[in-house]
Amino acid sequence: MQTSKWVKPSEMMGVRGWLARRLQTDKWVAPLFVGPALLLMLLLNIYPILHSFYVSVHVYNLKRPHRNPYVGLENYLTFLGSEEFYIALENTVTFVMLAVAAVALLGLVFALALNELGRGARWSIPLVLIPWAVPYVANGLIWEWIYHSDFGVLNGLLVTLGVFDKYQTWLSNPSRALYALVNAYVWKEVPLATILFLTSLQAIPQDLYSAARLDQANAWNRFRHITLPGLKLAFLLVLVYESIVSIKTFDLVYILTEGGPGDATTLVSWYTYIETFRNLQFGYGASISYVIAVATFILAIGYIKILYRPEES
Amino acid sequence: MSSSGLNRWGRRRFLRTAALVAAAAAFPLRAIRRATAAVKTLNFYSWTYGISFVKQRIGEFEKLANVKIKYGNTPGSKYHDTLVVKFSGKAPLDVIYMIDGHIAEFVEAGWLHPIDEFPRVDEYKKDFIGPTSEALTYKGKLYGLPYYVGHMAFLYNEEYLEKAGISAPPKTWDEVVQQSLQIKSKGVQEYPFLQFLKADFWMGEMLYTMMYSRGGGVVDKNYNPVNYAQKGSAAAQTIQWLIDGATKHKIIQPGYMELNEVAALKAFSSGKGAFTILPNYRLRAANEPKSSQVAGKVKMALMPTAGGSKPYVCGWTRSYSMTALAAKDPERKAMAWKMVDFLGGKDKTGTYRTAKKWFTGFGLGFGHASLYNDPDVIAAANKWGEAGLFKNQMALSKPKDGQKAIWYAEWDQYMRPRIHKAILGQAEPVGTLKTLAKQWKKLKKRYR
Repeated sequence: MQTSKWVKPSEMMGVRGWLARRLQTDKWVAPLFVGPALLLMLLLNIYPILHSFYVSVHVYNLKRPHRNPYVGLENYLTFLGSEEFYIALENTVTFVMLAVAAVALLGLVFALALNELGRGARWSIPLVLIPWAVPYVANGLIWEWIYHSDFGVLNGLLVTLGVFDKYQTWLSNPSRALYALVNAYVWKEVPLATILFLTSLQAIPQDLYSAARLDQANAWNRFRHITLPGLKLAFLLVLVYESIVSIKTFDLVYILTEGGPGDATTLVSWYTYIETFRNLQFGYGASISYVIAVATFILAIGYIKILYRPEES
Repeated sequence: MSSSGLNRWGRRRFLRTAALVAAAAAFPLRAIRRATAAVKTLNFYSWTYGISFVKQRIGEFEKLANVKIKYGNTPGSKYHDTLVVKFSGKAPLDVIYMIDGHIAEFVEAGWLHPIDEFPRVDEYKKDFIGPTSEALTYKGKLYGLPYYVGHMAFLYNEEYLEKAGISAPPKTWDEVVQQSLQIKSKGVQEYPFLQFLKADFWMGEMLYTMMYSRGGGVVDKNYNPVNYAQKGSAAAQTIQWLIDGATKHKIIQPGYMELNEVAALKAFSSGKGAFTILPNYRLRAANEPKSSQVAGKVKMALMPTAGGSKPYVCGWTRSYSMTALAAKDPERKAMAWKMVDFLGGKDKTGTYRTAKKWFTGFGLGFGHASLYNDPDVIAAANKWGEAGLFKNQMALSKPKDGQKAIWYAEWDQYMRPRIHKAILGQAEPVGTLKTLAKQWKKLKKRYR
């Protein structure tokens, strides 16, 4: 019976040999697998990106659909000089800072707690992920009822516990509405951060902890010198991802407050939406979106520069 | 066929016969082609209300016109934005519901087609009630047939008034306060005036109503702001009344700025509030035993006034409208008109069948004067209200000032958060009104 002989790539001839030798080298493998998907993404995104920039340098008001003069950076200068934009920006910065910090901190705390369960953590993961699996709009609707000033569960709980003596307003109170949104956001996003931290925690070699105990390192020192460095990449991922998602937050505003009361919960995403889809100013809306996209990109690069060291990974 | 048979028959005769057979086959083919080129589907979009009835009428139209209707709907508060996205993305839409306040901007955006050219339109126009024609007309052209006509209505819970020893509903806004305080002091209701003022599209209708009933206005026929941005104006009185109602008299429930129209109806139907302002068709819902805990106790009264002014209210017309996309193809245009006429016009018996059912079954007002004399309509009106009162209040309803300005929707969006801020004490009321007047002038200049 004849058996096939395995031929080394270095001994193969022709195109097959060339391909086999290229595949042996690591640097070709990643582009080969990622390339097609990346190409498709670029093709689907490039036209919209370029077109929206084109729109942003024109007057593109749907109420005057045949008047689209080129105006250069006028749209950009208009919103940079607009009081409403700065109110939205201030609200967005507050929202993002609170939301990202809360998600990261709570995610870490829950991950540390779940890590103590050991193998038991595995069955808890699906339960933990439930809030994250709830669609954004459904999340908004749930919290709309929780926060309701007449029927809300939150009010019922707080009055029962004696925290307040009567029902409070949350979404129509300008000093509370933004924090109510932050809370609704954090509830949905913490599970993902928890899972990311948990998987990183579980990847830290236990030998390091054993060695540290032998050296009589206390819990805080073990956390500071072993756990935290091991979570650096997870932190980076959570910070970058949550920053992007929180900057883009729209659904909660759309469902819960529509930017109100007054402009207390007007975020940049909502401001852009109003200008584009309510005022039909597509050029102006595109210019705001561009600036926010660039700002988000710069923020992400900043995080990576600060937290990511290739040699540490 | 044998060669001898063919020869007997003759080549020419064979070719002539073959040509005739081919022509005979081609004729039904042409007819079939014409039939397949005919409209097979029509796209209809509405907001989410009375869906079961809408689908029933759609089914009837499909059988009548031999067409398939692709139907979609979205909640009313999101309707404008959804349509903007759909039209911008060139989604196939043929017949849609339309809000009168958005007709100007949608026409300017090239999304709507007028219906003046179609049969029976002139006959329908003669039967429109007061504000309907003006509401649906833009630059001299009619942009739909009325789906329903409504107005803001002052509703009260008769039982609560009786418990508080009040024999008749208030006629002025001062009486509203007095009666509310009386109801509150008797322990009948903690917050007797159920107000909703979420920053959505009902906010304009609410504020305009409170202003109209105080004898005020916003702009004149040339879209110039009238003197509403000054102390003591109807607009300033409206804002101050809302501020005092919540903070001074405490007759309006906290959190009313997060309450929308549907939630307000549900709250009122659950027994909260002795007075409220809701769209007039909600009177039927509030008196519906299946869904209301106060069924049979809710009455309508003429809108309170400032004393000396007439009880005007803000009214509106919603329509069945044809899209410009449908009008591009002659056959689709004809089918779309057929549907608009089916829904908004008369049937073969000469009855506005859909409009009548909307009123008798749902309480939605109608845009056709002849329906006031319909015995079924009168009977239905008297079942949950008072037919004469409906007619009287409708006669005193006006559409929003300036809503036919192309920039109206933009100004309305600008107005909402600013009025909220004024009510919350974050901005001075008259200063806010001055800002609104300034913005109006700025937009007018931009779009002229």
